[in-house]
Formats: sequence, C-alpha cells, structure tokens
Amino acid sequence: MWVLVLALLTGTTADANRATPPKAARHFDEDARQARLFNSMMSRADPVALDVVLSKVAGGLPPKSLSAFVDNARSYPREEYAPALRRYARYRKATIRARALVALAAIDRDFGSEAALLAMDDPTTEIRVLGVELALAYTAPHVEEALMRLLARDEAVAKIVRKARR
Amino acid sequence: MPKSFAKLVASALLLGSLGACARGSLEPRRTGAPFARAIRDAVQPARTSSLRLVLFSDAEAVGIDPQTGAELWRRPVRAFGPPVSVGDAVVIPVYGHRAIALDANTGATLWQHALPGQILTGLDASTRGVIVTALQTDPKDRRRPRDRETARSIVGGMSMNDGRIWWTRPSDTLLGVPAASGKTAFVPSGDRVIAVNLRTGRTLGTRDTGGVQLDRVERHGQTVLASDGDALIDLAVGTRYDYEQDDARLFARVDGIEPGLGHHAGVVFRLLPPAGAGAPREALFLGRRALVFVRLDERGRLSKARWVHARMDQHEYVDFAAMPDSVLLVRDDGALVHLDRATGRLRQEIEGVLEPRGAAFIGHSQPVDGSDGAVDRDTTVALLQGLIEDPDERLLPAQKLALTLLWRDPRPTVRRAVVNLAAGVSRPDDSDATLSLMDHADSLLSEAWGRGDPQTVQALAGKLASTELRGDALRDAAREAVEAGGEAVFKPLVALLDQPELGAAELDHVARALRDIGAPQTVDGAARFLTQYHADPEIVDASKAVYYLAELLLAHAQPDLAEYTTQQAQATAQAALDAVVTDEFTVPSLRAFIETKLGPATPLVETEAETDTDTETG
Repeated sequence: MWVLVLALLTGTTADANRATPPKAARHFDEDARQARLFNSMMSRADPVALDVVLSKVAGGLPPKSLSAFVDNARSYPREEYAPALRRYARYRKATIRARALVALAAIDRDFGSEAALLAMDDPTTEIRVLGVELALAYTAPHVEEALMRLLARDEAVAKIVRKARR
Repeated sequence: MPKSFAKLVASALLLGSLGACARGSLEPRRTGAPFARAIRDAVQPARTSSLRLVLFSDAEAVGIDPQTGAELWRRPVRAFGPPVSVGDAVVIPVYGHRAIALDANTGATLWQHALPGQILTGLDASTRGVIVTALQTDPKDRRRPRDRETARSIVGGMSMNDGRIWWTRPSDTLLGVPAASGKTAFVPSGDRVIAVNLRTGRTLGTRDTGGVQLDRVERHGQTVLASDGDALIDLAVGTRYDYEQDDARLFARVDGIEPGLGHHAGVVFRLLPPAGAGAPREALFLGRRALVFVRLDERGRLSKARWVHARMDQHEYVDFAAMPDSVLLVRDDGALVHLDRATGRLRQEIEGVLEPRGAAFIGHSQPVDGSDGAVDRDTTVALLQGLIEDPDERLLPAQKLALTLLWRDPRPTVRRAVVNLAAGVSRPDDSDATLSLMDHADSLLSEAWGRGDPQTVQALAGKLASTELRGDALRDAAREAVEAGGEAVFKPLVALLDQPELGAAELDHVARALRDIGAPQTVDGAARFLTQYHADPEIVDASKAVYYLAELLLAHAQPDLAEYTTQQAQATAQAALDAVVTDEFTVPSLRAFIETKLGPATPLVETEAETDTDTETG
C-alpha cells in the first residue's frame, strides 16, 4: 500500500523532469531559486523567515516552490502552515494534495486526525488509502467512524487495505 | 304497498326536491364528479361566424365590418357594462339595469328586458340563455343598495330568445362575474364555482378552489377558468396558474359591482384560448400605446415576448381581438389597426367612424396554435428595451411587463437592462413613473432570473452541490445556472472550483458560468482560485478556467458602471489582479491576457518606481 503513497509523495516522472530544467534555462530559474530559499528559511525557526514564507505562500506559488513548501512543512512542521496546507489539500494536483496532507498530519495529533478525514474524502484512491494510514496513525473516535464508513462504501480502498493487512 | 304507488311517491319527492332547489338560495353542493361532468358537457366547440365589431360611445352603438372599417349600422344605445357576444348577436347591459340584444350584422333589436336584481355584477350568454349576477337589497327594504356590504347577491337565468327571466336565486355569498357555455352556467361564489343549469337554475355541481376568493369565471377555448384577479384555476382539473402582472390584473376585480364599460382604461392582459385542452400559453398585453404578445410557461408565468408593437404617435388603443392571422385593434379615435399575428407588424390602418368608449368583437374564430421564431429574438429584445426607456408615463404597466420579460431572458447581457434601470442608468430622471419602474427592477433583481423560480433554483443549487454531478450533467447544470438561476447557485458554483476531481473541461463550464453570471458574490472565490493557480503553468494551460475567472475579476475591477459591482468585490478583484500582474512567477500568457484586457492607458498597478517619478515630477 505504501508503494502507492510513496509514489505520490515523491511526485511523478513529469515532476522530476520539470525539476531539472535545460542548462540554458537553469540560470534564470527563479522558481528553483525560491524553492532553495524556502528550504533554507523553513529550516530556521525565526519569525522573519516565517513571515516571508507565509506571505509568498499567500500570493500563490509556482510548482517547484510549492513542492518545496509542502515538503519542508512536513520536515519542519509548524501550526502557522496549517491554513495553507489545508488549501493545498484541495489542490488540483494529486501529488501536492498528498504531500500537503502528510505535512498537515506532521504538525500534531489533532491536525493528523484532520488530515486523515480530509484524505479519506479525496477523489483519488491512493490518497484515500493514505487517509486510512493516517487514520490508523492518528486515531480518534470520529476518525474511526469515518474510516469504517469509507471501508464500507469504497470497495477499491477496502481491497487495497485488506491486501496490505495480509 | 303497490309498486305503482311507491313510484308515485318517489317521483313526487324527487320533483319536490328539484323544485325547492330551483326556488331556494344558491348553495354549493354535489362536489366532485357532477361538476366535472358539467364542465365536460359545457366546453363543446362553439359555432363561429364572421367577425363583427361594435363600438360604443356614451350614447351610441355602431356596427363595423372590421376588415373594411365600413359602418354597418348605428343605434342609440347607452351601454353600461361590457357587452358579450353570442353567435351573431351582442347582448349589452344598458343604463337602467336592463339588457338589450342586437343583431351584430344589422343592428336590429332582438329583445330587451330588465335584469334581475338592482346593480349588475356580471353577465354572460350562450346560445341557450343569459346568466346574470347582481346585487339586490333585502326584499323588505325597497331602497336601491348603496354598496355591496348592505346588499345580497342574486343570480338569474334569462332566455336568449326573448330576454325573459326564467329563474332567479338569491345567495348569501357575494357572487362574481359568471360564464355561460352551452346549457350550463358557472357562477363564482366565494371560493367555489357552482355549475347550474342555465334553463332551470338547478345546481349541477360545485368546485371548491381552496380559499381563493373568486371574482370571475371565463371560458377560454375548451378550458373554463376561474380567477381572483391574480391567478387562474382550471376548473376541469383544479390546477392553479399564477399569471403575474403588477399593474394589470388578468381581470379587473368587480367586487360585486360591474365597474362599467371601458374600466380597463387601455390596460388589458388577455389570455388567448389554447387550441387543445389545458391552460392558455399565450397572451396579449395591451398597455395603452403598446401591445406585447407574450408566451407563458407551463406554470403560467410570463416567459418571453414573441413580438412588441408600440405606437410612435400619442394615440392609445381601446380594445383588441386576436384572429388566426391578425390582431385587430381599436384606436381611441375609432380607427382600426390590423397587425400581423405572427410578427406584430402593421398591416393596415382604417379611419374610424366614432370615438369609442368601449368595443366588442363578435364572432371570434377558433383558437390557433402560434409558432415562435417569426420575429428575430434580438429585435424583440431591442423593442422591449426601447419600451422601458420611453418617458411616457402611460406606458408604465407595459414597461413593467417589459422589464419582467427582460429579466426572464436566459442571456445575462439582456438581463443587464434591468440592472441598468435599477441603477438609474437608462432612465436618469426622477419622475414617479421612473421611480416606480426602478422599484420594480429592484424587486426583480432579488428574484431568480430567466425561467428560474425559487423551487427550481433550490433544486439546481442542490444538484450543483451534489458530488455525483459530472460531465455533461455538470455542463448542463452550469448552463442552467446562467440561464435560469438565482443567488442560491453562487455558493455551490464557487465550491466546485475547489473540487480537485473536476476535469479541465468541467472546470471550464463552472468558470464560464461564473463569468457569465458576473455576480459580485462570486468574486472572492474567483480571486482565490486565480491567486492559487496563476503561477502553475500546468493548471493555467490545461483549461480556460483561469482566463474566464480573470475576466470576471476584470469586470469587477474596472466595471462599466459602479452599480455593476460592490466596493468589496471591486477591491478584492483589483487586489487579486494586482498580485497576479506583479508576480514574477505568473504564467506569461495569463499576465499578457490580463494586461491586454486592462489596456495600456489604465494600468492597474502603480509600481514604486512610477510613484516615485510622479512625486518627483509633481
């Protein structure tokens, strides 16, 4: 089961291609530069860096910066990232949604439960499977209830979970 | 007991009960099947004859051939109430509480007779007889009733051959204007319609309309309809149709006393009989100088205009009749105007012989099924828009109807005319008529638009909120929201933007619907979407959704009129577009699109450098 989830978390082949721009363009890749900046700033705990990151996120991010943000938010979880991560949990790209949900869950148990619920409602099967994993990791009565409902109504997810349990 | 004696007793009892019924007061009884049977028997197709027109002045009646305008006869007749036609005859209530029947071809008097009661409520006739409702005082009080509160109602049947009163029956309930069809008469009594035998006055059946205080019964083709002035009830099946028109009720309320000939003052909403069974789906609205041919939807609401005819001079119309291929109008100077029924175009105007106070068309032809599309839709819309901009106060009722029809149009660009009027753009003056029209426009703006009504809009909002809605169904629902929606659809439409499972094409439908509706309430959602995705080329290039939403924001950031948006929506749109235009990561094609739309002369964003330069120059 985690193979699917890992594939989502690490991104697609298309993402990898975009991550390595042609030599000529590399020099002018502002997106990549901002992504590196995010890596550096989000690893620090100072409020100025946090403000910069949050204001950039509020204005909308290009692909590499966005990937950097959700990945760093997972590595260096902070409650301040939660609103943005919730928004990215409904992003139109499944890889971003999966990474945003994992980052949200990384903040604390309550956010973990919230991420589990959001993931179990996702239109993509793989993310719903991720939701099952998060539900098992961040268990709570209402999360368990949602999990039971999901397994009862979603044959595809139930099948994957049964296979993984065996 | 011998069998013959039992039969004799039974017959005597039956005769006694019938006699008592005819002599007694009019009471509702025999609901259900007997009434339905009476309706069925009554609505047999009527005989048709050549069309004649009778014009009435204060002292005269003049018979006219409406095709040629030739005067056929002239008689001194002081008409009081609206005349009714039967075959080739016209029955006219005249002053002195009498009725006179004339031959419409020759003007010869067929009969004249006093009417039952003392003050006329209503009168109708069929080939079998005349039905009259009236007010009268208590028989012990010999004075004439002064108002309806002190009077009782009475209903009577008269012979169509000689005007003789066959029977009368008092009623404790106020009666309305009756209808006669074949051998049956339908008498509105409170919230009931009582079918009576026209010859004997015997009650045939009763239809309870559930609390609607009825004022009038009319036959339209093969449908018998009761009205309370605002709505119609199909008496065959009991269905209620809410035909709406603020300033011109379907029928002027009589409230017990016939208001007199010409009471409608050139404002008439007349339903055209349908070719088959069921409620009328077409109507003509006469608003003094203007005539609008309207279609009604299955619920009886104004749906669209087929054509509009408006006089350029100051003449008004008195009355009209719809014929299979033409509409004949009587002008206030007595002239006859022939319009093409399919297009409303002027065919002919014939000089008049008398300045009429009222008119009656005799020998209406069979109903016809009209077909739409004879007049270009844009032409009709342009004429409706022209009508609402006319400063003539006499046109107010027609203008309200025109506004309603414009608001019912499926196209947002057409509905913009109502927004313009509510904002005082198309009528900048502050006359009473303009203010009244603006009020009407305001009330329309808070209603569902297009064909929508509160129920259908709620159902549509529920459908849009459903997670199951995808593909063509989503496309159709989004289009329906544009054409027949209401404010309830804003929230689910905006919520769909945040549904990641929507495909690119589906997202396009939603975004385009939001752009076409153009509501300020949806600007927040559009701004959020644009801000989130403007820097992601994969999303921006996958569909036109971002561009549609950018157009929505542009319309609010730089509205043609301040009234098209709200301050908050304008600020939100402007901030979002500022952020997108200045963001170095914005997909270049999107930035170019927005900058082109903004135009070079009106930059949305003042950069720091430009501001500094301006300051220095200053």
